[in-house]
Amino acid sequence: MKKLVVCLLAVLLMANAALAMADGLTFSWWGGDARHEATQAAVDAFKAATGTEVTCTYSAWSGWEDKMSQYFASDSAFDVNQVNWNWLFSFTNADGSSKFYDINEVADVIDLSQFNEKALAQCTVDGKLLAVPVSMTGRIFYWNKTTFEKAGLETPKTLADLMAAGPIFAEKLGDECYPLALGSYDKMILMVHYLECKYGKDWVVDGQLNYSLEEVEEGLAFIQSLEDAHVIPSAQTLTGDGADSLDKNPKWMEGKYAGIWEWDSSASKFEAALNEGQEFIVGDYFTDIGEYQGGFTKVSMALCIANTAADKKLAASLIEFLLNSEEGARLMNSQRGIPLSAKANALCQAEGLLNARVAEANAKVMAWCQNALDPQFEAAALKNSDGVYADAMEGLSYGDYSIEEAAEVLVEGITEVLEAA
Amino acid sequence: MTKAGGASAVRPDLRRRRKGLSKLEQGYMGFFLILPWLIGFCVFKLYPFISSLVYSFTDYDLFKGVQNFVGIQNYIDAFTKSKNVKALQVTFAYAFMTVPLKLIFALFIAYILNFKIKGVGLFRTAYYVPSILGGSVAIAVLWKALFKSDGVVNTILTMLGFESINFLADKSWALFIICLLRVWQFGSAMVLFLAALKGVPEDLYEAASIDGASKARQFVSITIPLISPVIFYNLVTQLVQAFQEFNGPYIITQGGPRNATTLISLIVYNTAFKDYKVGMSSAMAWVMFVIVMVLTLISFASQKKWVYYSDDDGRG
Amino acid sequence: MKIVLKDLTKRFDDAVAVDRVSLTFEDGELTGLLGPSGCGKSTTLYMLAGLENVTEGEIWFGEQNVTTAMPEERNIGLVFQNYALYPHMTVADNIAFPLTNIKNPETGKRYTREEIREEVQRTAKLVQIEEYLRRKPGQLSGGQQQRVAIARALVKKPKVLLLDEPLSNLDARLRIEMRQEIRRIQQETKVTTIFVTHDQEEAMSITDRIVLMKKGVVQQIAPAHEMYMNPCNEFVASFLGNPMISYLNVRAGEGRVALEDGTVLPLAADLVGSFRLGIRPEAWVPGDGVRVTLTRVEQRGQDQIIEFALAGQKVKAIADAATVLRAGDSISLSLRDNRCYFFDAETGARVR
Repeated sequence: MKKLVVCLLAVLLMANAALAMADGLTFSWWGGDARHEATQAAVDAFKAATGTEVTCTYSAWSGWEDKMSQYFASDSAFDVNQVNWNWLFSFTNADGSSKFYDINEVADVIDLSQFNEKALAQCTVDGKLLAVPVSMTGRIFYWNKTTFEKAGLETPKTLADLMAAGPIFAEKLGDECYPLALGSYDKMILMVHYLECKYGKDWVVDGQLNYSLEEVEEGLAFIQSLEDAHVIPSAQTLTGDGADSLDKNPKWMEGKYAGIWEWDSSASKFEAALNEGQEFIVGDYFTDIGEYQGGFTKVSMALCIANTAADKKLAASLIEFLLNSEEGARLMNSQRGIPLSAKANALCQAEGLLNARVAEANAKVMAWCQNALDPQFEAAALKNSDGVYADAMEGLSYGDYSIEEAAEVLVEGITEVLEAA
Repeated sequence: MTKAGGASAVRPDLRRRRKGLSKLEQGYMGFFLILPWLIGFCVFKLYPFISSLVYSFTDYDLFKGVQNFVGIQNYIDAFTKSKNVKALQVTFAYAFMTVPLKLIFALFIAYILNFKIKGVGLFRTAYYVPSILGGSVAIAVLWKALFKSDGVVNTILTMLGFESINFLADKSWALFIICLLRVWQFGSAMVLFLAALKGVPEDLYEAASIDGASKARQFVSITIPLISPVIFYNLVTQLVQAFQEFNGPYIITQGGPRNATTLISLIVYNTAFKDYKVGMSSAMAWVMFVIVMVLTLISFASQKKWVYYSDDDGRG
Repeated sequence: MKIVLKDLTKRFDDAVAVDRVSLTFEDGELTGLLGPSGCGKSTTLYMLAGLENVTEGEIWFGEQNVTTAMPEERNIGLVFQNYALYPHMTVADNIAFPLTNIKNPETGKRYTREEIREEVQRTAKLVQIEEYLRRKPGQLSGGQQQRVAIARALVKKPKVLLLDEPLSNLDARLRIEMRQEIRRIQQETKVTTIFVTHDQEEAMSITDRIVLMKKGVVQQIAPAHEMYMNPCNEFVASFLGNPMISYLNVRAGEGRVALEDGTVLPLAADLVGSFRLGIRPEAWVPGDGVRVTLTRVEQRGQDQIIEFALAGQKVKAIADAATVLRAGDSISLSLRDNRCYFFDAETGARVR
């Protein structure tokens, strides 16, 4: 009996040691099917080139942030991770130090000169570069041209066009059809865009909300006016559709919702979701909102090395391969947006690997958006389905809040998060 | 013992060789044998149980770790913050809607299936299957698809001439469909009721019939008291389950619309993994635990009044 | 209340359990439905109660045809073989239960709590279980449980009281005591009572009349004494009496009765032909007649049961206990002809 126990323990110990000594990397990311395929291919190429084993973990965005926050909190994250920009600011240790390894330390492995200063700056906290930015992104309108044509309209070039399209859609196509569909977070970003176009100020400056209560009320009134003019469906209608996201909503697929306000990097996802025979085009920014070019760009996602990675140099080499190498760039192309890496960008352009729509959108976004983005904008407490933005926007749409009340909820919630940060 | 004792009288050297283990050795052996379970229990159940109680008195943050001891502040927040109070209300509403409905339905169907009708076995299986599948994520996803504004249910409603209902976005209906998901899984309770019904002697019904009792009276005066132990068991287990409900609201409504389906379990999850406030979350979890325990104790105490056990003849 | 059965028949698929039974139970009588297992007595009882459907025929309670009436409409009391007391209710509640379902015939309204309590008291007193009213059935002995069952059956003052083998679950001593109790209760309440039993002694001891059934057919209806003394066929003769009647194949003629081997029996008869002669054990008396050698002797204290053979057929007799007899003894016996019955050798019907 005792012998058996000793044997078992020995086997366990050996297995453990074997695992620890395993010469390989672990890599995690989120995305849609197309991204998974492309990334897998790139990883396989890395394996072939270096002989390193890489174990991959990936899934869709839904629930991914919760999962990753747990991994990071318990210091059991993967070696290389695709991170959402706000994680760089939220995932910290008790003493405030970061969970991410300073990329500057492996600058000999990763060629940081390929990335522009602004992007790198967004990923730098306390002088440490916490992750390598993959692409920049911003929000822009996309339209289903086919549906607009059915209503006898051109796709909206100005806000006035959009507001006029609402009633026409109701009349010509039926109550179910709307020129635009917005989720709570979409509404928030559009509102900020609207206000920034009007007033030109950044949303948050030095950790403080830069807009007054009245200005926020104005923004909310704008959003509400969209609903009132049958431009966007009410929150109830959207909830009733029972879809996890707009690209999974049959009404988008069928063209009943004829417009979205989405990241440039998401263009391919939404285009792919449309049913046959519908034309997807990148919209333009409205110049009749205000004098300024409002809107922000942010690092869409970045690749990081967790502090718990065993071999940091090896991890860095994977990142270098994926983002900067010829093969990596070729295989990953624009699945994560337009690559920031100059080398990758040039290669993809030359070989025509960039998704036309994403490229078009990204170019427009980069040209238009001027404002900065505070990292807390996407804090979990604000952005989540039970967070402040959703509470304010849904409450307004449901009629639980008046515009004044919704504005209060929004301002209070945002201030709380900014102060806690 | 006597064997050894007897043998020792003749052969003193045999006295040493006992066949079994001494009491002490038996004790050690027993302890050693349950050690795996004990370790598992302590590590996976006892330790988290106690740590969560300790954490509930702190402001334990998922990333920042334990920073301060905050006493009962978390518990005060649990009962004063409007979000939490609403969740408590919703959970109670949910439980007190679901449990009676489920029990009544289960008993009703069991009663019907107790008759000897053709194909009754098929029906029994059909009604039981949901309770096996039902708790799964897949079924919850299916449920959502059923009740969306152009889903199957609304299609049928409009076919019958009613207006379609936005189940997912209406505050009352949303809770009701979560309720319905759980009530639909009445099969396991039904099977238990069926077994209990079969245990009631047939001649009691005949006697009651002679005594002039209608079928309804028979059901109330004879059937219910005699199956009351099973009613009690189902009541307690369903009550506990109802308070722990998570899958339905998480997948179907994400706690919406407007927090109408945010049950305590959802608050516990969100507070811990989205707000990163594990201390507060632990406090909510403990509040849930105490509530369930109190309800269970009340149920147990009420047993004397209405539960009849066949070996209890009023002697004590 | 008078009960009349007209051609009552019960068929289960192909088997006939009760075959065109026509009977009248007079008001206030205690009748025993007697017979071996499977004779249809319980089925008849349950048809009377309404718990079994009638295949053919009619049942009349007084002026009412209750053939298709539901049990709860018939106003009867039924004591089940295993009492079927409600285990979760106290004795008092058990007895009260029927009253909670019906209207008080005097007031025309539902029974009030007071009225119920009174009735329960009254009935409990009748069956003598007042001290146990607070107990639950599980705490009572068999006899006590039966009293409760009877009380429950009687509390609503039914027109008919039916009992299904009421004594078969009791031990021997209790059985005797309880059957007297049943008789006493019946006499006090004067309710028309029918009870089913397979025990002939039981039937004989307390009933006003016995209805003896075999294979669904009524064999004979008569008061106990009459049925015993005047059986109408072999079956009836065999069923009553302990020890059982003994049979001999005989030839009768010229005023004499002889056995197959020629032995003449000390019996006068003016029949001619072959018959089966049934002789009650007590018919044998010491005297001149036949000389027999005893094969077995059983002591019973008050008498002895002796066994001997005549023409190869076994005969049992009862002898006085005065002289102790032993197997092998040779004695001389004569017959009392009023305890001897001639039966048709084929049909078993009584000839004389």
